[in-house]
Amino acid sequence: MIVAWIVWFFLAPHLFWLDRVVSGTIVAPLDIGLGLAFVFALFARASALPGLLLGAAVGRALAFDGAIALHFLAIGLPVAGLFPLRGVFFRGSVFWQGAAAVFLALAVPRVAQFFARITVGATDAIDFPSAFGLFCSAILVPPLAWCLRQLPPLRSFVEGAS
Amino acid sequence: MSRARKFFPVGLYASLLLALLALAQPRVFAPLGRWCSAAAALPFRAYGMLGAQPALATNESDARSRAVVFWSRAVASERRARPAAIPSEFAACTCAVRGQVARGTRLVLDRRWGEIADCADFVTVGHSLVGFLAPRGNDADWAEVQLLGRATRGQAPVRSVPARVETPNGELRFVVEQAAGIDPWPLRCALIDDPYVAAGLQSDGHVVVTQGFVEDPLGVVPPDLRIGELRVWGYERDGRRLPVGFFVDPSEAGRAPLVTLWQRGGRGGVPVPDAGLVRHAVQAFSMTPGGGRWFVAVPFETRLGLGASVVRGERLVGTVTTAGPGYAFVTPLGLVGQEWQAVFMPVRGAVRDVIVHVTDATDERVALRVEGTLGIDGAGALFTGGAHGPAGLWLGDVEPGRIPNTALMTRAAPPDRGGLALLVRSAEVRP
Repeated sequence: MIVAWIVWFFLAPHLFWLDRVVSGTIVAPLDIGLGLAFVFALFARASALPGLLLGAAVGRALAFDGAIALHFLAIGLPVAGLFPLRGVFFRGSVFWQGAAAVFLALAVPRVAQFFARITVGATDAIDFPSAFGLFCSAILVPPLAWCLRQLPPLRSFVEGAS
Repeated sequence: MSRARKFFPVGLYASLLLALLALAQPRVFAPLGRWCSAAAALPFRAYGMLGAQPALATNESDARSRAVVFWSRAVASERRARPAAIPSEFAACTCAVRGQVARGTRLVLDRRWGEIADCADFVTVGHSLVGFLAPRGNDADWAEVQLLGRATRGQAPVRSVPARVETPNGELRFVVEQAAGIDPWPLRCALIDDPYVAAGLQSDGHVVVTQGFVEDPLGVVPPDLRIGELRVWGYERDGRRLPVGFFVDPSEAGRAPLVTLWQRGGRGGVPVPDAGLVRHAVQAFSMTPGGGRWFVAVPFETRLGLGASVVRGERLVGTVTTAGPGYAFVTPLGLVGQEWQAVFMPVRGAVRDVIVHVTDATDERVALRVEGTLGIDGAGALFTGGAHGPAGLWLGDVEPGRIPNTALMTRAAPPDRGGLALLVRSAEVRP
């Protein structure tokens, strides 16, 4: 498990770096950051969430402007909003997964913008999605998240993993 | 109990609260953040070590000559604007601004306290009073200026200034002091000498100037130095304004690349823009195809502040946005959405302050939207003002755009051309 944490800590910046790289290409709608938030919200073990979020926030702060705390809140608050709904919805449902992806695509940049504004901080990670972008998120994020949670190190942090 | 814990993870919510605290008190959590970032950036540093050894730019004559012309013209313009009310015993000591600290309320100058021991407290830019020398520190420390502006928590208050304003109803005298955070403008008027004249004011925008007190216990301030414009705040009733508050919108001179101190009985002086600045040759790597983020391997002994300048010769090409021991991430200049407070130096004519917003960018050019009284009305060059890092760094050559209040600027070469250096204060390098 310790190895998984170390790998996650060093891998997260690379994932966000990859996110920046693909954002300038034809597969721009493939939002890896959103895929990570999706895994955290719907599939990650509750006890692992603070550490996963810290790794993601550090990685996002390296790849984008803004403080680590800002990125922690930008990802963490929408995740915390979705987390209790695990008990309400069946997480294997395609509609529920699509709706959760759209919610995250809407909420993450807005939360980041809010905290950037009140702290007079700046972040270039605020990219409000268009209607097409939301549609792409609903379609692409669930399969992307499925890939992410099948691979190490995230596989170790998914609920039910030993 | 376990079900409640399953759907309301205490650890997650506690960590979010902690993040809120870190956002509210960034200084407390800064060391932790730096070490987390430094550890996570270790692989990037390893990639950087695989690259070629960095070297300083050698062909800098183009930018160097621009910088020399800029400083000579800026100083000449400042010297010509000597306020008539300043006694002849004072000699102008023109200082370059090295950056802003304390949330933009203080300017750091290119002189040490020991070099300006005999200077008066008031500080001017042209005909404007911009602030006062901060409480003096050690002789070896860099001198700082407290700008006239809003009171900021944790900062020493700026002294109040006796002032006057000519209004259609007659002259009004008062004391200008720092306004509170809740006030609509940064300075407020107190101890108004004639409330009847004040109550009849129906318009604002009148120029507020200093007015010497007789034996002012806080120190002499020469009369007729511009402080800003009067703002009247009040109720509207029957088409008339009932003033309840008087404020001053301070002049924008606080973002100029240089300020003037007034030396009693001395010979004055000219700016020394490179004083105390050290250049570290660095190699930068573009992390994305569009060049929106650069990774820079930094010597371990260098402690970088956020906003540190990355230059190629005398040209500013980017600023540090994340830094820790041994690494830095740099946001290059010229990205869409960026805003700079800059100084425009036309081919002919006086230098002037402008604010530019990047609206579009290609590999070669940057399209700008320009704010400023005169704007960019001809070919020239843009330089940094005093707001972000050292003043007088060349940003690029500009020419006016086809649409009014727009301009086109040349863009710096990408990082793989080399010749990059980090411009840091000597105090930021450990011996």
